[in-house]
Amino acid sequence: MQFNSYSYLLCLPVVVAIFWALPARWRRAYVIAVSLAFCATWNAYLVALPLAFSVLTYVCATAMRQHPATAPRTARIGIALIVLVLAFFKYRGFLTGTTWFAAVGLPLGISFYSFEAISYLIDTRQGRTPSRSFADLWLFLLFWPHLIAGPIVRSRELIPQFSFSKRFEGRFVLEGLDRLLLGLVQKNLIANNIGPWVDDGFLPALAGFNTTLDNWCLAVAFGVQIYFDFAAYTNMAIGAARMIGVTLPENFRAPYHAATPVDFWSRWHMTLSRWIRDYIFFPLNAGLQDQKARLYISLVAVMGIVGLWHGAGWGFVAWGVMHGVYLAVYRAIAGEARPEDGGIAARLFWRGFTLVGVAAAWVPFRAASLRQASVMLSSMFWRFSRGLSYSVNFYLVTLLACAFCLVEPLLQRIIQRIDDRAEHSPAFARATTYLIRPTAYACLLLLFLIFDDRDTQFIYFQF
Amino acid sequence: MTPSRLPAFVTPALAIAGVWALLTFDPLMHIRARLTAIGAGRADADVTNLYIDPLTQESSRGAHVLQSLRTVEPSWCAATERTRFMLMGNSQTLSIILSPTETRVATPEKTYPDELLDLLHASGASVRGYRLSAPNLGYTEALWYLEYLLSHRCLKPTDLILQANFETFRKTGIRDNMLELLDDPAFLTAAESEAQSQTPYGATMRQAIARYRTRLATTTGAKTPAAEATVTGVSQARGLGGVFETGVRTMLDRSPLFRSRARLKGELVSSLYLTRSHLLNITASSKRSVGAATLSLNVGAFERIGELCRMNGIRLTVFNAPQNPLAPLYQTNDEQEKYHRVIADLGKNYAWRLFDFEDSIPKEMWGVWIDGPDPIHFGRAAHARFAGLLFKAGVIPGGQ
Repeated sequence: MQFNSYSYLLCLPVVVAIFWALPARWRRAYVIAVSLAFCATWNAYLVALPLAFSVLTYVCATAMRQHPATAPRTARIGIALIVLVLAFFKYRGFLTGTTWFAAVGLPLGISFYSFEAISYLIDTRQGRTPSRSFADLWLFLLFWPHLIAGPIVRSRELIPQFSFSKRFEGRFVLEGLDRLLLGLVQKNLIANNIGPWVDDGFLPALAGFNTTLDNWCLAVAFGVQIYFDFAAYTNMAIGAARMIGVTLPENFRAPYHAATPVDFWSRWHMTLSRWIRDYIFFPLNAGLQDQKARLYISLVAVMGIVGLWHGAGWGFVAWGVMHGVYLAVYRAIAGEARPEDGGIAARLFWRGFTLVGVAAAWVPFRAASLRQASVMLSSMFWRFSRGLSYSVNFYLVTLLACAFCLVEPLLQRIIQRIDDRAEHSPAFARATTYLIRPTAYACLLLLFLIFDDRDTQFIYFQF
Repeated sequence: MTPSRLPAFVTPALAIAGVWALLTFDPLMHIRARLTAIGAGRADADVTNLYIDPLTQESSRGAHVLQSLRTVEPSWCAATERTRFMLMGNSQTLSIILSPTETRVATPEKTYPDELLDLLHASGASVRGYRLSAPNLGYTEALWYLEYLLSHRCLKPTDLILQANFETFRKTGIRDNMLELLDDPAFLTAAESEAQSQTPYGATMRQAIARYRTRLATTTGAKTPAAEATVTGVSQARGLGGVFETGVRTMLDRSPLFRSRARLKGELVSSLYLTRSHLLNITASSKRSVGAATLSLNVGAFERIGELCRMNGIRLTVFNAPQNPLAPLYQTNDEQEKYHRVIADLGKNYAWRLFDFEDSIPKEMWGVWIDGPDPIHFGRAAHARFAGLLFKAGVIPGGQ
């Protein structure tokens, strides 16, 4: 059941209504049941694998708590087993060059909940898990809003909320609806409408014929498509959780407004980048602040792993490595200086560097092969050719989507101001309840409905 | 109920009422009408009461091709005519945009393929014809159609009449609605085989088949034909969720109000188009060029159509479609020369016969729609004239 399917949108209000009608002590069992039912609507894998991961993680975590002396080894074994399962499903073809067990597809969401299970083990080793209950751990991995494509949460931010002891307030539903409807429109109106153009332009057999402007536009269009696709999923996940009073961490903060490569990673897929930072980068580089060369190599390598997390392909690795190089270049030139410390020229340079670099990196990410990516990138940077190959609508739609990216923070500020004002003025609060919000919701719903005629698989489901 | 809880019920209820009101009163129609009024042309120039005959036309404009072809197939199986032709082309073959001197009439109006068939039948020719056209039909889509015809013995024509059009060489991809042809097992096999080709059109077909597969709802391991899954042909989820989703969509699709969202989308897209025309002055008649990528894709598909026709004993007739002298689309003279060269080469290498009708319709007979002279579509008299030209030129063998 996809978040933007009618069946889900019809079930969600019922699920939320029953949740709030139940006594608080029954709510956890109810959310587990709902999460299991949600998983079962996809396939049996989606129930069995998170359950297996939960059992494995629970056994390891309990052993670590009971035998602290062997905890490091137990943690390593647990993490190795999780990585092994992940590698079997996701990277077997990539690592062995064969397609054995080809019939066993990639289980949905495995990259997300395996990272969450690993973080649980590491946090347990460091004494930072808030609960020893199996039910909590199970729900932590299985909680339906974040199961398939994140955000990648930490046990200490989610498990304490599983007491579900909050009293019902209207704002939970409204805040949830805000995010849910925004996500529906981001997916159906923007991501789905750019998708077919991108698919055509990235056809391997056509890529060689694309002009410089075509390739730049395709890179930007794919960047916009994947952003709105993933942000849409995240918004819908956050919205659904919010409706039952649970707060999930944010995953995006206007990433294309980033001033530097470092800033980009503090705005793009934020929960993955903090996971990588805390569980891989910091441990690898502890005490090596003075060894610059090693730090830069480590940055590139870690970003290569981030790329590999997205999928078993050299294009993903190239995408990660390119980002690693951007980060290393920025660190080498600008050091620890903040972008606002520099002059206007420096700020413009880093902003341009970031935008151009991010757009260019999307090419290997989306291209069918490294060869195709190199053909497109060479056309973008040195083998220039003139002309526009595709319908003018493609370029206009991409421009419109970019404009939406540009004004996105402004829109968020306006919504924030409306909420702030409603908090202080009862009359204005009534106006938002009876006029402003219903009107906005109706328009967003209408846009979702009238653009609901394309296949709507989320891009990040394949990761 | 406490005041803090009330908005959770009132706001969504009002929003749903708002959606109902928007779907019912259709404000987009008024916006589109206003935008139309700004234009130089006539909003009523687009003829809507067109003659429809499911036995001689694919009248869904590419929206429900499978149903159309399944409807016509039995009559073609029983056909005894010596010449059985399929005519493929873009919206010029299925639309009428009235010229400034023409007014609307109440009777259903015929496009030139209809008029041509009338002329052929009146002459006593043993001919059966079918217009297999769609707006913006690209040559990969034409190849897609041809593969379907070839995978159904009865539908294999003796003659394929293919419209050549400068604009068509700019098209890419296979539209979502045409994916439903893959529900037909014989065509699926043929398309999969064609998609093996390491050519741009092969890649386009591979992509289309992949899109079709993700669309399929998999229920208890069995695949549900996409076209039958829901009225909209979209099945969003897999497994048990797929069954549920299909049920919900089928139920919703029974409501006329829910179905009206397609009309609203049309209004919104038209409004955006008109806004583009008025604000950016990018209109249907704006000059354009054909990029190397789309040229390669379409020429490859065109060549494959020629090869398939030759291999299957189908006579391929190509005609260069009329263009409005008031709104030539070529960006430069070079573009025009390149296009004519491409058509001449394709005609020489692959077509049985090639006709050039580019300058055959006088400027006063062309449609003038919202944003000025229409570069593709012409009026009632021009349709009759062009049918006569095709008839006289003997484009359909055995007809003259």
